[in-house]
Amino acid sequence: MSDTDSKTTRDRFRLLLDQANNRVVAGGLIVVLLLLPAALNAFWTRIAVGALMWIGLAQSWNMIGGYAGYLDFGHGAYFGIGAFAAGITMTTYGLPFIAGLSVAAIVCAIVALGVGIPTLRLKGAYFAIATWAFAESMHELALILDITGGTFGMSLPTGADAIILPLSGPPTEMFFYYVMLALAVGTTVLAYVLFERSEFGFRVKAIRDNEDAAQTLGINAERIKRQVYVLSCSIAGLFGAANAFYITFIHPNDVLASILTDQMIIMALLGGLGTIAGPIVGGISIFMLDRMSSLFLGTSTLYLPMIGLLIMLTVLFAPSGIIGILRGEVGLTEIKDNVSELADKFNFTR
Amino acid sequence: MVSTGLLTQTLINGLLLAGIYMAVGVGFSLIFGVLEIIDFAVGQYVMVGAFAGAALAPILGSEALLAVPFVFAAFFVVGVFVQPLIHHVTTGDRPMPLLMGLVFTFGLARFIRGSVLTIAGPNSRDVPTSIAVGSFSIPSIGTFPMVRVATALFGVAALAGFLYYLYRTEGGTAIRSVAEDRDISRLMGVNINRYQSLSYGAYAAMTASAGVFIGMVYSASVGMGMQYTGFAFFMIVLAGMGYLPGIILSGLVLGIVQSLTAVYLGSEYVFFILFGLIWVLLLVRPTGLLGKGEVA
Amino acid sequence: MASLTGCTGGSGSNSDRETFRFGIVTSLSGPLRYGGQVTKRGYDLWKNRINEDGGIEVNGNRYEVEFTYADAQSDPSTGADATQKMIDNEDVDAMLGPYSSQVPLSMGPILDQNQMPCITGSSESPELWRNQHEYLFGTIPSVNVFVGDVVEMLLSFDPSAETAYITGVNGPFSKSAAQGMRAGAEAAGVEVLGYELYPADADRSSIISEAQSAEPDVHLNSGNIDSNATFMASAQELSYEPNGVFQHYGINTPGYKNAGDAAAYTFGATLWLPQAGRSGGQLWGDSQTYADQFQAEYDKLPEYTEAASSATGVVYQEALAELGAEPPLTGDEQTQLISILEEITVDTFWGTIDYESEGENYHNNITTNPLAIQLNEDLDPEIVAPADVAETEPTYPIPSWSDR
Repeated sequence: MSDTDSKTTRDRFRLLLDQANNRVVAGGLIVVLLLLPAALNAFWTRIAVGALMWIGLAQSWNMIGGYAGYLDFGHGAYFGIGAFAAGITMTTYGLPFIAGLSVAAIVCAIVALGVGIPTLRLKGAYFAIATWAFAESMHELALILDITGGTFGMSLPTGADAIILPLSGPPTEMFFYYVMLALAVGTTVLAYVLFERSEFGFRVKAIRDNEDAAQTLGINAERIKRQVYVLSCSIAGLFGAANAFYITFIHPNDVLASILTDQMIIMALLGGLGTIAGPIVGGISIFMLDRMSSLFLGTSTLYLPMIGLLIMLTVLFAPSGIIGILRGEVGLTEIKDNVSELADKFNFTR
Repeated sequence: MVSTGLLTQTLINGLLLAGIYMAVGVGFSLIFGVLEIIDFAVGQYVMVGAFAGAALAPILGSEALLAVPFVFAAFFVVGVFVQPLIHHVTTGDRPMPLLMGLVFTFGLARFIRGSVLTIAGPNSRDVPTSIAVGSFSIPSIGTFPMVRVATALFGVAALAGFLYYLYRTEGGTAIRSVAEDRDISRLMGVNINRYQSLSYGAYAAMTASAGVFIGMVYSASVGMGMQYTGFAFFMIVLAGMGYLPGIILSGLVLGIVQSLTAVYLGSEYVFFILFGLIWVLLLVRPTGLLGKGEVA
Repeated sequence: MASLTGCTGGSGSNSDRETFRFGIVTSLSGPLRYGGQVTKRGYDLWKNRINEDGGIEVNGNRYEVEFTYADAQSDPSTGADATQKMIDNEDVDAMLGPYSSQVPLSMGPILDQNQMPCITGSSESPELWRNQHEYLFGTIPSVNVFVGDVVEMLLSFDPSAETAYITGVNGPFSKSAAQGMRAGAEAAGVEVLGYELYPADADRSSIISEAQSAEPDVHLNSGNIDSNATFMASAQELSYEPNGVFQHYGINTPGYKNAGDAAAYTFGATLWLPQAGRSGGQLWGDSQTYADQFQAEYDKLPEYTEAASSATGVVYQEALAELGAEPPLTGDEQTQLISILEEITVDTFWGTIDYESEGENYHNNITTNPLAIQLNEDLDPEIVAPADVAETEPTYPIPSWSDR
């Protein structure tokens, strides 16, 4: 058996193993996730709920930003619109949580369609600023409207009757864990099927890589961009609704804050843009880093600049994110090359 | 209740605000043109500038105006050394350079803000001046607060200086050619690294100096930066992206719309209207009010 | 061997902890960071002081106090997680709460579900109490209640005002304060010429110009300290001269001095000042003693929020003594502590503290009497009303800008 032969056989075998592995790993992971709350106390369950939410949100941004290449800087607006849509459904109309969730998704889809049709004609920085301005204006609007509670915000019902499920007592951390788990796994599977395993995904990536070329190949870019945008925004709305019921108090300064969008982008980018695993890894690591620092460091705020520094270093030296490092795309040699390239830029005589 | 006195005073307030915004918008517009990045850290340079003014003024006889040259020089150096980092993340074989630039400067903004909070603490600081105090009035026209007049003059002077340099000097021509096309400029022998760094240095110096003035008008606080980032976005959209003289018009619109809205429509709506305006304007006229910005 | 004995002396768990452990959730970063520091100073001073005394006295024994902090980042969802951490992982006996209302509003349901007592030394927003959380208490009266009272005092100064103009930042706390101002003006029979809320970041000059053209007798404005300092500086720049300017919050804080000379003669409301002459209770015999100790520790005069945060500690001290249980508290004891807090009336250097047990101010202490204050030329606060505690006559109408 020659050397090359053994290599290909090994590679084939490894590929086979990888595929089998992927399924086993995914299956195993889901079982673990389903059983996880049994091993956690209420506090750690809450942390898991937060991590799941951010995985889903980062994944939803990744759909429009990572796969379609449209830098949505106003994605957080839909988190807030979903939160208030659910809040109004549940308080003003006294409907249960499931109605709040559905209304949030529908309202976000309608708004995203209306906003998306004109805004998606813009590209690059123009699209980024337009979506940012849209999100900021939604924040300001929520502060002056009456139905959102204006600057006083809104408290949601906390009682048992808000969930029409055979559960006794008010919703617990466990309940929200499974809600967020369903949403996050659903979002991830949907993203995987749509963007990695279907023709739709190839079209979306073709638009990202070269929109004009894609169009000449007969891809209806307008329609596909719109579909991705509406889908990703409705998902953000669903998470907004679930979070609103979970936190019980929503305020425009919290659920419509621009920091939400920033966080989603950073998670997707640091994890690895345009990949399924990226937002999962990025979502968990950034959320944990931030939340654990604020809860366990007592009174120090030193973690805030450190997170900023981490973002800068990642963009500088590992632009394909943590996934890039794990896949071996970014190793020591790449970082060394990066550093020497960077040093070159400091040569001001060039 | 609409009296002409109120109207003229409102317009004066708006004009003076416009000068403040021009000081922030001019550098931002320049680096958008030259480096093709949207710098999220712009507001944080304003904030650090204000804190630097607050820290230096006591040494300089409680006069923050005297701190301006020091702040200018210090941030020029800072900018010159930050620029290569930004250049690095937006070039090479990286995917989505625009996003990389945005996220890098976002990280930078978070770093600056977190550092100031950790070092200086949460309290806001006074940025004292004893020269630019009080106000003067012109009968039947209105009142002009001195500190705001000084700030507006700084903004206008900075803008004029920038425009002069860009359009009337060799260095300015080189910078404009870099803004036009980086690769062709390099082929024509323009020293890219140097002029890009010069531009970013000038921008950081201008913006931080503007921060000293803004600190004199209000005060220095850790949270003040974000709104100037927002205003800077607003200004380049209205001006037409990358079109520097447009900053005059966009500064005026930003200042006057704000003051007119506050008086004649209700202060609550000020920001809603401003942000809504940017969005609508981008949809109907992405090349800016004058139609001279880069085409989307 | 010595260490071995040390180990066998206890099971190493919490069950024989000899200290009372308090969990503190407050905002050390984010927009509410100023308030977070204020509460922290107040709570810390109480802890240092009580531990110097040997600790909280229960049934003749003394138990020291320990704190564990978490940063709520001014974010309700972080605040909620922090609360759960205090309950599950830190095993605290009771909690001390944050500044503002947004964060406590998300903490409330968790406190109730886990039966964890929490008193906040520093939330003035009325909506917190309308939600009726059983385990949440507040030492500072709702802003709309006490600011209105002070505004009424101000409007009766001679020559009594006939018109007023009200402005405020469009934030949950400032809007409640502005509503309180409007209620106070209406109660005093004064015509309100304008009522306008503005975003926190908006430039004030045109808002002031508009008020100026309405020529009110007095101007009432609400916002945070920075915002109020900016307001006053802008009023000076534009030569806006009503007979009096009243602002809430924080005219007697160091931050307000950022307005410079313009700050002089501003009227304000407070619930406590070192010279308020309040006395009684444990640790600090009267308000001046407290102020002196605070000054020695932090090199500044205490604000009423800082004092209220320390006084909250004194309330816990009395309530725990009455409960008579050793640390760590069991769930039942924590529930009993709630009933004690509802019933108890505590005299402190801050004044008498008595939490409501029903109504729209449920679990809020609204017994503390507010004071009208005015800054003098040196920017020091002086009590000008009510008459029984006033230190001096108000300077009213205030001198015009050119006469200063």
